[in-house]
Amino acid sequence: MKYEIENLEENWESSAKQAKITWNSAGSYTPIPSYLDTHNIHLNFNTSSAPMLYEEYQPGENDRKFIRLEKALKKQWQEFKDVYSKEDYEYFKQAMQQSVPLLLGLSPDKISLQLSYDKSIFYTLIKNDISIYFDHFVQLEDDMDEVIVSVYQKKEKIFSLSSSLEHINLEINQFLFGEPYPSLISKNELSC
Amino acid sequence: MSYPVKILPNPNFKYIDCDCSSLYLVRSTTANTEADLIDPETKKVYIKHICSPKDNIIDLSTSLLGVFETEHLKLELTSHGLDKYNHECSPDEKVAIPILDEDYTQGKFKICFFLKIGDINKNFVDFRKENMTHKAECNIIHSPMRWNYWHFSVRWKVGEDIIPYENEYRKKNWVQKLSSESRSMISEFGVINVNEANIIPEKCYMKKLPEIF
Repeated sequence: MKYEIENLEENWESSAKQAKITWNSAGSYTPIPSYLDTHNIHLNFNTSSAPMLYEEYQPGENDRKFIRLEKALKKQWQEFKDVYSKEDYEYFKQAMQQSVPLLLGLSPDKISLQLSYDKSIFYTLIKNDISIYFDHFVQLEDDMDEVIVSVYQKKEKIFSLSSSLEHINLEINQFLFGEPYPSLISKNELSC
Repeated sequence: MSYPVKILPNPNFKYIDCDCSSLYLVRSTTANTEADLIDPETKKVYIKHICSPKDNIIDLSTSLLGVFETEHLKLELTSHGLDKYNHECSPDEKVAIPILDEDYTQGKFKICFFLKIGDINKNFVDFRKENMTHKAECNIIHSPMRWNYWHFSVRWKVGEDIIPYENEYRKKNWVQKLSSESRSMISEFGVINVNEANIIPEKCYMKKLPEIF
């Protein structure tokens, strides 16, 4: 059975149980083939705003992680209520919906999220012996988000990058999984 | 409990002049329990406990573990004590011993984390400023305070200049970005247990060792 879901914000969990979903950079949701759940993928950002179709939902690991992260964001905002307004929270939520699909596309073993005092969402990912720190700065007054990424392996920094969210996707994927790609900062530069 | 004199500056002390790579810094936090300090998912120190907004990650205050013990983190300067003792000084300054309840109180045990100096000292982080990528070098600096000779600062050097600890800098966009990299680094290397804390040899901080007969 196919059906449309235009807005999963209010009832995300019950919707997620019925729909096979993933997320794109615009914060909307797109269907994803089930095999992608278990592979390292280069996310294909879909900026279309058209309503999405969903079918045959089988809860995937990424779905569970996304739900957990969304809950964590809400819980942490409660702790940051003196720092950030409800409006700010909505910005954070939108930012999270943009960055989390990218991060889950890296198939991390572990992932967590923290709000920082610098208007950013700070993600920590563990994949094998690699730690990835992904700080998504949410520009609350304009729409140019910035991301700072640091990657450590065995206590050595092997990658670092500061860029827009759009560029970071390619860079991280290329660095961790793909063919050589001209990083803004090469790993050799960072050896110390 | 009387103030531990061994952590005060002393006329026989000098700036520490040995390689401290194998030693650990200790940083106290506001966490109530160890479980509150560590993210259960990733086992890393929560960034909110690395540095609160009123502190400054650009000048992170720590102490050298060894003679200074985690027990000493309980010492809390009173407002009077802060005025009198919370200032940098020379290592050999003669300081009056702080008085209980007047200059300091004995607080509760503090949850803390540790940083191995060799893991972070001289490490580089990158940050963006005016569309250019810059490098900042982590510098662990012995910065004795009137209340604690073993006080160390984690500072950042860009080019030849240490980034100053001033409010006007803290609000700058590029400082926020640098802070982000610093947080990542400290989160990566912060640990909550130290199995074997090396004790610094006396020759590294004593001006002249007593003669042995």
